[in-house]
Amino acid sequence: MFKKLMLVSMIAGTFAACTKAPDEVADLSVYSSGAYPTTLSELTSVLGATYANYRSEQLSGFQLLCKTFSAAEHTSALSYGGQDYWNDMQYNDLKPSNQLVKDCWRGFYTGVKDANATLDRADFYQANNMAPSELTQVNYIRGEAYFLRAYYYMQLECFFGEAYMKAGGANGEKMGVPIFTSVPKSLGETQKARSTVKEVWDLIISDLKKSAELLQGVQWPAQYQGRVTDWAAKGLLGKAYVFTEDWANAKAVLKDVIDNSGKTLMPFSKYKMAFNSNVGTNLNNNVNSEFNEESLFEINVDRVAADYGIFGGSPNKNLTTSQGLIWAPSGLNDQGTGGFGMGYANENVGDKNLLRFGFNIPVYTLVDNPNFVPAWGENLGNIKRIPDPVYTAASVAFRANKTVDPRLYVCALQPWFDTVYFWGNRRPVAKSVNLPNIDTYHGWSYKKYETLDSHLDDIKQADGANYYLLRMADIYLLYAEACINGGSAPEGLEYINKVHRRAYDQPINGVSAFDYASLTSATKATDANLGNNPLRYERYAELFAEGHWWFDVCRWRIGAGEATFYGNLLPNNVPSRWNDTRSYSFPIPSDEINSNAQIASQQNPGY
Amino acid sequence: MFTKRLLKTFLLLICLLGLQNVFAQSRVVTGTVTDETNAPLEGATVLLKQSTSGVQTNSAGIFSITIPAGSTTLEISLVGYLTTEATVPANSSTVSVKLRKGNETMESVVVIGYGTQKRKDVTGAIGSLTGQTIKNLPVSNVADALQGRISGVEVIKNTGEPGAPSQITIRGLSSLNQPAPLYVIDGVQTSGDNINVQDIATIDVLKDASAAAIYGASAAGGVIIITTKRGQGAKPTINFSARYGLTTPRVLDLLNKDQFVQAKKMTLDNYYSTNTRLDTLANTDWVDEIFRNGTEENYNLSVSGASNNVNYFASGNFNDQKGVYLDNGSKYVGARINTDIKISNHIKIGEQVNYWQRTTQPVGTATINPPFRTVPTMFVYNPNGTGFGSNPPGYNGPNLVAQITSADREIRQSNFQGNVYGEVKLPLSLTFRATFGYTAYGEESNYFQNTFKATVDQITTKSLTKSMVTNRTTLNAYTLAYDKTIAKNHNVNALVGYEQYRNLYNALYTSETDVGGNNYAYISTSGSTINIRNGGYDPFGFVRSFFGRVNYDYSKKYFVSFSIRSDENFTVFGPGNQKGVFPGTSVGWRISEEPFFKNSLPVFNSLKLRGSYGELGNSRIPAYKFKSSYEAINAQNFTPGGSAILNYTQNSLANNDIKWESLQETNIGLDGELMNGKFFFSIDWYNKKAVDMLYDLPIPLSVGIPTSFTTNIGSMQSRGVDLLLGYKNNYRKLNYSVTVTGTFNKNKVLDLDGINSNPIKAGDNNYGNPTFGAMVNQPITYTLAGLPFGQFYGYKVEGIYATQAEIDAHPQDPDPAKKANIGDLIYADINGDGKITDADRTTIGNPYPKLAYGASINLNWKGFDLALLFNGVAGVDIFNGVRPYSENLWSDGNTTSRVFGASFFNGNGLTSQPIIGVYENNGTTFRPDPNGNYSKVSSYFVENGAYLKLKNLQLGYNFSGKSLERLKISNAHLYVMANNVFTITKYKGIDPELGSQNTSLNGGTTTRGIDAPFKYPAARIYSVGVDLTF
Repeated sequence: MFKKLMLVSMIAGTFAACTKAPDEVADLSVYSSGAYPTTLSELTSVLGATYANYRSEQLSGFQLLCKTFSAAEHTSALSYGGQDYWNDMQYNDLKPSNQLVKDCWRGFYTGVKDANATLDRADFYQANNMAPSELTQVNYIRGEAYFLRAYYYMQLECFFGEAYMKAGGANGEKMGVPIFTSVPKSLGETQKARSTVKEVWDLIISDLKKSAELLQGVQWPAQYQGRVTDWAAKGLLGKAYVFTEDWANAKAVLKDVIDNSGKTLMPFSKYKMAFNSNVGTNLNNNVNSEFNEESLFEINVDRVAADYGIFGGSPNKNLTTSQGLIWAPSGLNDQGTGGFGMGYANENVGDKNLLRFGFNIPVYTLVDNPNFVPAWGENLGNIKRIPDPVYTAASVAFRANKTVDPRLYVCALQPWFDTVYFWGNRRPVAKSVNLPNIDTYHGWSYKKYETLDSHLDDIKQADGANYYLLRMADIYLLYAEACINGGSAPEGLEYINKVHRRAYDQPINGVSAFDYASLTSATKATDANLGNNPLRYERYAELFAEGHWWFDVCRWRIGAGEATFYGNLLPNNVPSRWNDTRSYSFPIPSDEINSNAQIASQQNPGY
Repeated sequence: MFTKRLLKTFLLLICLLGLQNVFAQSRVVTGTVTDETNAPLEGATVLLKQSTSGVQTNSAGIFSITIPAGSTTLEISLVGYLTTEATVPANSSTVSVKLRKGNETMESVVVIGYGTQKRKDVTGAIGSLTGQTIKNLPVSNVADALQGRISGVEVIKNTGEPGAPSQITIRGLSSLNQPAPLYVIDGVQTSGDNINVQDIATIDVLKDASAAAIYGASAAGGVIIITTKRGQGAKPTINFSARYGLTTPRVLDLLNKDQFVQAKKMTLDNYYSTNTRLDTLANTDWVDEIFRNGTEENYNLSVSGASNNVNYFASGNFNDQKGVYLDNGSKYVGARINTDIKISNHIKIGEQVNYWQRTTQPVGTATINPPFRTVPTMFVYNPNGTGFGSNPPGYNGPNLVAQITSADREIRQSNFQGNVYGEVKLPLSLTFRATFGYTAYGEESNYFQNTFKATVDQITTKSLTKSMVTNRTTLNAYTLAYDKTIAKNHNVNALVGYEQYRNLYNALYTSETDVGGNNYAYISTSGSTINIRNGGYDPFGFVRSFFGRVNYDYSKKYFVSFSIRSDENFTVFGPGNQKGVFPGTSVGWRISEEPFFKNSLPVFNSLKLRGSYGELGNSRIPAYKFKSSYEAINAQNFTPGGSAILNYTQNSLANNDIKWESLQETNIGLDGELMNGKFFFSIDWYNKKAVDMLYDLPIPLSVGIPTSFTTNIGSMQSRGVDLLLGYKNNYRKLNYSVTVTGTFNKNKVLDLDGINSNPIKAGDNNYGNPTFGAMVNQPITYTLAGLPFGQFYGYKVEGIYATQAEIDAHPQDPDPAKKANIGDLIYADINGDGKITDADRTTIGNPYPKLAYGASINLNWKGFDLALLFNGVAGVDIFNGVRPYSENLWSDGNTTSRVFGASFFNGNGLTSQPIIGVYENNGTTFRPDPNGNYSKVSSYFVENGAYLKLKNLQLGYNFSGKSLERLKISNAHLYVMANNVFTITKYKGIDPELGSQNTSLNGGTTTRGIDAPFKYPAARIYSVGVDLTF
């Protein structure tokens, strides 16, 4: 009996336990493409990635501004020479394998993909899950995606395009960048040749027009103040026209923005700390100037909990940026005998830039402090060695008399005269610590977008200042450029002067003593490129270290002059390897060339 | 009703166990079985002649059998020995039998997957090992135990980290995504880690595709079949063994304070050149602070026995290892119970239950050997008792002791595995077998980080991270076997089966910053941030398989075998591509059975020619590549301090067409025995080719998707010869045997794709993070079609510049700042463009050995036994990534005294080491290494990696006799053992036994042979042990 039972149960078990094949399996840790998004807020999450991409490691989360832009355009000098790819950027001697070049390409194309994914999901949501009342909101999301796609393409074209479009469509047939208007669905679709320069700019302009139309009249509630508006789209559209030398359209669109957006220039009192909002609590600089009257579009950056900034592990790591590690200011140590970097302090504001702003005295020497009391010991309140009195007097006068462009002090921190705060103390700025032969350099630290009140170890370098991607000073100067080239030079000069007046804390609309009399008046700079060219100088000084100057250098083709002016470059004190036939375009990254058969023979000239 | 019956049966079984010796009209005979040296033989089968029921000897060689009145002849057999008859006089109840060594390899039984075969009948390539030879080894996984013992099986162990797995490759690479071997323990596919090697009865390695094809899709990495011990011997046998060992790390010495200061002064370091009070600085030996001697102890107790109807085996094991790294160790406990119950002549049931638990204290920081980023001039603790030492000027690195001791980490793994089977003999020579298995694996990880404060290195808030992982697998397997001899000479053995594995995976990761407590429990504070991350939940793991096999032979002379398996995987492949079919076939011819051969070459006892072809599958890629999805990518808010939304985007491209990769393998082999089994050999030639190779095709960056596109696009081949040679003999009372295994292998990538010219770049010589180290941003290896995997890639060095004229005549880096100086390495201008650039990098070495070999030598004389195991490789290169750190002052850290051998340093002239920097401005400044001698990947660092190592040495003595018997001990074996005894090599690094740097990347195929500072040191172990049988 038992044996029979055993047999029966085994056979029964055999059949009972054979499992049918599962019908539908899926990775439960992710949303499936076939069923996402189901709500408007989920759709917003897809859009959000497109914004947040700007703060990725490849872009301004870490290296776009402080490594790529500032090295290529020399708004920074490299104190640290440990990485060839970075030095090569500084020497304008790029190789297709350069990591910064690759990351620049990859970072912007990731943004393009994020925008395309948003457009794809907006269609999916509208087709499957949208309530009719949500159409306006969904269209806003599309408008934002078009704006961001245009923004990312514009950056790509300006870095990698073979040439800038010139008036009348010249250069339009040259090589632009590959265009993706949707996320590829197959391997074949991933292989794309370069479009022409004209095709790329046409896409940028049409995306921006669509964006402005879809976002027409949008009024974001307070918690969404950082989202794109129709005025941002029009502003960027105007910029695209200027960059393609379509002066007539540029004038019209930019004037519309100037007159009707409700935006203007902020007063100097706000401007002077506008790039350090929310990052100076210990320095009594609690100015909150984010999303101000001048800003058309900016990327929100919050200081997050101490967790290595964007390299941390928390889900919110991406709300911040970590470029402050690279640009970190240096402060005096507790004894006042030397400097300490608040982060890596790999770069400083090169001495040649100080000269351009009008700071033209020799490097100080240290002398004995007459007020030093040996008995008290060396400390921050009782420093033994201080800068020489001649230098000190001149420095004080520069600020008081505005003989140096006041914007220098918005952009940079002067050793001994500006202060930072860390390790529980407010302390004078020191020379940027990693400079070789430090005594021979001014070695100023960065102020723009910098964290001034904390050390790397305290907050693990989470930055807190928002990035302005489009602000009215830029619009004014673009408008000025369009006017000058479009037959209304006097109006152009006036708009240059408006920006200039604000820098000197003057009312922007009245004539001031600081005005440029003509378009060839002397500027604070004395070099051939900027010396008698207020338009160029103002774009340089006003937008210093904000990621604009490189494109201006390239579209005006003044690179050779820049190379001459900057002379020998740190970290190795060697001349720039500027080459007019090559240096205006970054090379197409070798990893792209190697993985995209269509682009394999389309490298930029000279590489 | 059923339960009641079960209970009854159970009670009945208990009775059977108790009453097993009670039979009428018969006598009990006890005896001992020994070899020619009087050493007891365990596991010998003792049969009453002409019957089929018998018993087996215990580990003291003792058996006890009940024989009917009138019977006097016993037949005693054991694998490797000649079967012997013994007569028991009618008036006696004891007997002692000596067995002579015999046809070892041919007569033994080989497990071939869902069945067994005699070695002489096998037509595939199968290597075997008995548990006896490995049971004392201080290893925690099967792979370690196999090292050097089976031809074609290469095992690399170069870490002394407790519980760390070894790298095992069977017959060279078989894919870009090299699959791990499949472990089958008592019929259940499972992990080969954490098995108690003392439970192992036999190990059989299925090497060629025809043999492994019965395991189809899982078998491309080879199959290792482990059979655990069953109860033997009528009398219960108790075995206890204990082993204690001392572990010493193999590390490099760094500069002491005086040497360090000297080196710093010579590089014109500002602080050390100008400071006059150097006597106040520390002289810390950080190597000593971080490494220590470890221990290994192991205790094992087993009980086994058998009756006519029941056999049982139970064991318990405890192992404790203290690692050679500060605050690192691992403890293991395991238990096993195996039982087989014969319910009737037709029905047999049985079970195997195994449980183990391992508690590991993992290393507290990344493991570094030696810790180059330390300076001797920093104290571990400030001498004035104010905590951790302050960083001296110029040193911004960590205090490793602070880092290690401020963290508490613990990983607890536990695994239960149980399976039951029932076997029914049916009419028509059929046997049906059903197996049900259940495995539950759990892993808990706790990591508490306390605060600490060194100058630069500090953690200001406490944090706690906890994770839990469970993985549960059920198995159902059914086989129907047919075994019959037809018309005397036609032997047919056939099998069909179905098998399915279902898997449920569930995991959770949690962490909290700024915790209040000091242990592994969460106490929140107002500053706490709680973070929960999805560890994954996957209930869909499901693979089902149908398989069949037919073995046929004519007169045990001509053999043919065919097998086929179909596997369906539902999570890795999408609809339409889930099924893979894997056939295998083999033929064999026992030439030695032919009369012509017997007559002409009588010296051969046996000679067999084998040939086979088979196909296997590989699916070693992550699941769900056929699905596209939206994944969390980053976060966004639109106002300062505003609440963040988590963003989702498409971050991969799905491949709907992805399918099994297949491996095709041809094998030709020859086995033979000569001179009455004194000499034996086995040689196999194989050729395997992977087609439709799964490859992560890099997609253009412009797609904006960071991952590659996984597709079936490449192919590769691996060819080689496996060799096994053995000789055994005796000289008077000295018995000796030598077994040599050799594995010749060559792999080559045939094709990665037709679209893409991106090589696969891999490997690095970073110092812990990708932007920090001696050779940042430089891959060490390239994998390209036409070459073997993972070739070292860099500048080819043609020598060292001795004169300025040489420099002027040779192409240079276009960067004037990098122009070479006298004493710099000469880089070859490979592309001949007159300058030295990245484009001049080329293939500079092959990390795959042409030959891997092993030799085991066993001697015994009277009670003594001596076993030596050698292993080695030849025809191989190593990239010595430690030298850029050990021959140069890198970053702000320390180096070894080799730095003083650099050219033009420390008063040297030109030496064999390039300069570490240039003195400029009349010797007032020092510019470190402008030519990149120590920062460019070049052939200067590629070395010959051939070595011969005495891996294991054991010397033992067997005690037996009256004094032991009084203690009820039937046998005692005492031994001493050493592991990693010595190495003969030209390699300049610590240990040339090197696996892959990153085994999680493509199974390690692209990162082999890179010796870099970031790894746990290898260790030597000296042990003493005792093995007692009661």
